[in-house]
Amino acid sequence: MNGLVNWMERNFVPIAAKIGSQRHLVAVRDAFISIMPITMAGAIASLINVFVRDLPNMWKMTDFVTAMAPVIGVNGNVWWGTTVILAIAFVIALGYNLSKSYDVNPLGGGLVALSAFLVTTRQSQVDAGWGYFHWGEFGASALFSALFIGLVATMIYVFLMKKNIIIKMPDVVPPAVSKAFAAIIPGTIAIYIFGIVAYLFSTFVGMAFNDWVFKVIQGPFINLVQGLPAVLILTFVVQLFWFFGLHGTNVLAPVLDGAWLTALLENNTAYMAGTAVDKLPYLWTRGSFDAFAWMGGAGCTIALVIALLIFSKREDEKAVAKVSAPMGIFNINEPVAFGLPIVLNAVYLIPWLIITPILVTIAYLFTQFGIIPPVFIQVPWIVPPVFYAFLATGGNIVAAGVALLNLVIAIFLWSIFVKVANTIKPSQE
Amino acid sequence: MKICLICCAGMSTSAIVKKMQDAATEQNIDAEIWAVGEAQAKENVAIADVILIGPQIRFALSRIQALDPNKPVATIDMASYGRMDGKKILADAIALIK
Repeated sequence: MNGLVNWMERNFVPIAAKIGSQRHLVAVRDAFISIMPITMAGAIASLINVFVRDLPNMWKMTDFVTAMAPVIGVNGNVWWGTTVILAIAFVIALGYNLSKSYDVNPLGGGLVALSAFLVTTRQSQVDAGWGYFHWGEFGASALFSALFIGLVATMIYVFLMKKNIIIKMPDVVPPAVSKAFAAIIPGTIAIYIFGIVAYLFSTFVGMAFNDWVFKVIQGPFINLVQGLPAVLILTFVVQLFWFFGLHGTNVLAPVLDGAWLTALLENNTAYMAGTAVDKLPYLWTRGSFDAFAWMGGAGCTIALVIALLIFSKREDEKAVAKVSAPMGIFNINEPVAFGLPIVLNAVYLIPWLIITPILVTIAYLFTQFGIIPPVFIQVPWIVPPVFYAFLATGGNIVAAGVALLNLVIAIFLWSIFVKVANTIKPSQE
Repeated sequence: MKICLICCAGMSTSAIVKKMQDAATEQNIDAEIWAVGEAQAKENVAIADVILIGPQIRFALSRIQALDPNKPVATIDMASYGRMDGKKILADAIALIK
């Protein structure tokens, strides 16, 4: 056991270190974090609609819904400027964060990335003729092309800025002026390259670059990771990272957000555009993990804390549970993960690795059979368990019930191992 | 003395900040302690005297150290972190400055 753990610590942790500190992946992760104010405003707009429109409609309170028309209208406006233009916000944030990490003018990088992204969008729309941007090209469905263009355009910009390319000016030209000329080159080249890419795609592929990325890369990839195997692998790897005391969701944030946050935002866009909750495009999204499995944090640690408070006969473990409980309610699991500890603790290894995959499977099947809707509202991760599932599914009581069921199952499974730990003296570990 | 704690979102370390502040007040130590998420590392490393990072993001240590090679940067040890032992973590931070 110790041999295996040591081997993993030597071989697995450095991989985490590489992923977790790779500059471009860090920039992608931070870009997703940076657009939070916007995604959250969009989420609130859809959440308010649930309470003033969808639920009252379900309860046949149509007069109330009619009276709420102004509120619903305001929510529509907020949605138009948030969820709908997510990819634009994202590409600016990505360009900004990436240039910042290279100590190159971040605002410049962000704007060059934005421009390169817009250069590739369609100029004519079937229904409107030439001269219109299409809202459908700015939202979650454009996230992958925003990600690609943001990375490449910013890297070209950064590289040329770092190279210090200078336009030779006669000596009579003041230095400030020649500097200003030099600054023109990197951005112009970065944007021009995407101008050429856009031209090549519309001429030879017959569709806009954006649309091509969605059709050939983003769509197929997200459909692939919608399968239960992909969801379970991700869940398991996050647990494994945490077993070594590494923040699994943080290390894997670029994958997690790229694959499942994109799906969540697409669901949200579809919902706000009028799709019924049982017809949303994606079954499993970023919030589904938090709603049904990572209650109290990765490992469903709130269930562990409860199991410890009820079943533990060890003073040391009970003390940890008491300290951890108030934070666990808000899905912060570090005190119990490091305090118990879970990290590198053979007694808790098995439940740590298997409980969340079980919970994920249960919630996945409930969603697949249409008993509960998919998660389509982005809820801040600090919202307490069960209530989280209720909000994230648009006020669905059954979904809250499934979260509660999962919680009970997790408490039961954890309690078995808490009882095992009871028979071991603290010093023997 | 300015102590900056960095973790994933600055949430779990913010609880530690409070424990450390209590310990500082108790010992009459003048310390400004705060917590931030990893995304805000750069600007905060610049103004802190010592930087402590949560063990769950210990893989970020070299990246954060690279932001300023002259600043003391260290990982909080797991046991003190789990126990939220503000006194011990504060003592470790002070030792790093000296």
